Amino acid sequence: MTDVLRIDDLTMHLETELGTVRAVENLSLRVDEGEAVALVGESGCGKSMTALSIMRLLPPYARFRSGSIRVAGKDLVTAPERAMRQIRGGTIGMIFQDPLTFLNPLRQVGEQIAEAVRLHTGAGRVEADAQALEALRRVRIADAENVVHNYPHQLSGGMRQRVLIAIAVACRPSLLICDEPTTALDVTIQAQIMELIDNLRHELGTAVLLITHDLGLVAQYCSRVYVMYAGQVVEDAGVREIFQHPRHPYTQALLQSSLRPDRVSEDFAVIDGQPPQLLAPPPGCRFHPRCPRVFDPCPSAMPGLDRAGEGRAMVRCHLEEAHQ
Amino acid sequence: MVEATSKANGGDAVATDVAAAGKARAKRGIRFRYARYVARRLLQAVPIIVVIVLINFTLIQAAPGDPVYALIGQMETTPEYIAQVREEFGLDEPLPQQFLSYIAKIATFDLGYSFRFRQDVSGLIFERVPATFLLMGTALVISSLLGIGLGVIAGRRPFGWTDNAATIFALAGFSMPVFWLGQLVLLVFALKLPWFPVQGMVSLRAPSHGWGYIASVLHHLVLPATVYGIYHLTLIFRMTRIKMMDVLVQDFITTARSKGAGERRVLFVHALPNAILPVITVIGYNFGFMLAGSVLVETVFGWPGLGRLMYEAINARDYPLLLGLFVVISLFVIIANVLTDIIYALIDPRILYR
Repeated sequence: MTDVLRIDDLTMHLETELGTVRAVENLSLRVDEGEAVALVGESGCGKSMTALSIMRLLPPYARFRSGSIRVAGKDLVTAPERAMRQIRGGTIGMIFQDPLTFLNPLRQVGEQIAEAVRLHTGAGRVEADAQALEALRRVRIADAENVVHNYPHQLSGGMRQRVLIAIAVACRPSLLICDEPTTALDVTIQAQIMELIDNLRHELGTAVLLITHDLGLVAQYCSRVYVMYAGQVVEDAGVREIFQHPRHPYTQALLQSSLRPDRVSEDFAVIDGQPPQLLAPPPGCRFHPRCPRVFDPCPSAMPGLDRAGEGRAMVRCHLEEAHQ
Repeated sequence: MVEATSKANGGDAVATDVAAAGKARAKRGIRFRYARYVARRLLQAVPIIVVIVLINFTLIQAAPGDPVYALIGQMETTPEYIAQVREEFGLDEPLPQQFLSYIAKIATFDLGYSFRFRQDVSGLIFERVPATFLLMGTALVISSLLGIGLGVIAGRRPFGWTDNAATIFALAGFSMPVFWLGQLVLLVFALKLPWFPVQGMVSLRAPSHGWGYIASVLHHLVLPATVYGIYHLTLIFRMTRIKMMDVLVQDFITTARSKGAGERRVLFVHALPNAILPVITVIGYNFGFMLAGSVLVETVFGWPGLGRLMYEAINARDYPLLLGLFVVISLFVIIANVLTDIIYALIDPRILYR
């Protein structure tokens, strides 16, 4: 199986006036062709910064410190801006959290989709318009012939997210990055959008990197999971392994704090404390101030991301190291 | 098999028809909304015009001085002669009567008779309109292009060195009064360096028509239009800059970038149209200020337009001419505002759906 995205040991810092924010540290991640992979974590753990690093849509004060992001034989960390423009929207499509604000309010949705086509295929206006219409049909918009001429304010939230997906997949990218695609939508629409993304993955063979904090979505739609905490990957495992046998204490806490219909509400747990400030992360293991199973080495030494158990799981925890 | 293929083709044809019909319907809908919007804006202008005529009339009546003495001058006269002059020009009638007859005449573009020039006011004014519009129009284009261009560059990297340089340039231009900068420019570029003419709109030796005439007018136009344009670009620049800063951090800009749009495309296709509405408002306002301020620039550069006419009218206390000028300038300002609103709706379709 060939990979469409391979991040190795990526470190990205934000140099702000308050100091260096360690947004992404020593992160490695791989997405194979046609695969659905989840990147899970709390708000502010660096998930979105990882996604923006891949697209290189970071704020100007962001700096890559080490590592590589390999897509289609190119290293996106060092690729020239012109090459990045071909990657964005061509090789990688991206959709975002809030469909209400991510469409240009002054242009018809058809134009906004056709623009993506024209930027990447050199198609003429008529051809691009036809492809825009087809893209709208592909995302199951009823009455697509009329909707192409609508402005964003005339559409509902779910429709706008479909339009954004149509833009992202208009050029049949090999990877679709979905940054919390359903957070701003209501529950029934959420399910429809996730179904749509899953269908497109099968139809177009597009791999999906799903960035979310919703473990329910992960269980349903993804085959592998990266759990992120404070800018680092703390656990990397198959979806079944994660849910049946979570190894990292943070993953365990995360699973216990998510609502599930088969559990009574007294079991619902809250992770104590606050996620750490990435301006000044705690020494040693980043999770140790909140960890229920903290022991001697945790406050002083940073654990490595190592293979755990017989499976393919990788865990960043001193407990696993002690086991071996 | 054959049947299936033809069915599929038939389906495609239907799909194309449906698409064309949808496009036509969408176009018709938006045209209708647009026509309704323009009609509404035009109707709203009518009461404004009436109120402006009333205000102008009242203002002039409240001003000190008696037009009869301006007519007669310093000459020694009898009271009977003064009364006769009053009657001749209808100045003895009650004010409401004067106002009503004035409105009736304005409706037929009869703006009265100028005491000073002994000529029809409307003829006097419209003779001068092309000169003023040439100067205003050129200055407006210079200030808009330069102001928006600088604003885009500055708004892209706020507080960078290009931003600082543009800001200093714009504020300097705005801080210098037009009559002072005008004289300074004349001193340097017309007297010390004899590149441009000092006064007027066309040189006496130029041919009265054809390319030679146009070239001479353009040559005379450079200095006043540049001075006036630089003065008026500041607000346009500041507004463009601040709105670009505002728009460039919005989410749809990220979408545009994530589609693979280049920097120039992001700036001019996605950001600028979203930033330009308040800028257009400022340009519309500027037009009014420019007409009002034309007195200064036209006097300094000896430009034979409405501003100089107004200056002469004030000096002579020529009430009909002043009233006529006020009414015509107000009309132009109202037209500029209606145009601003119409352009608004062209740029932002959401306005049509309110």
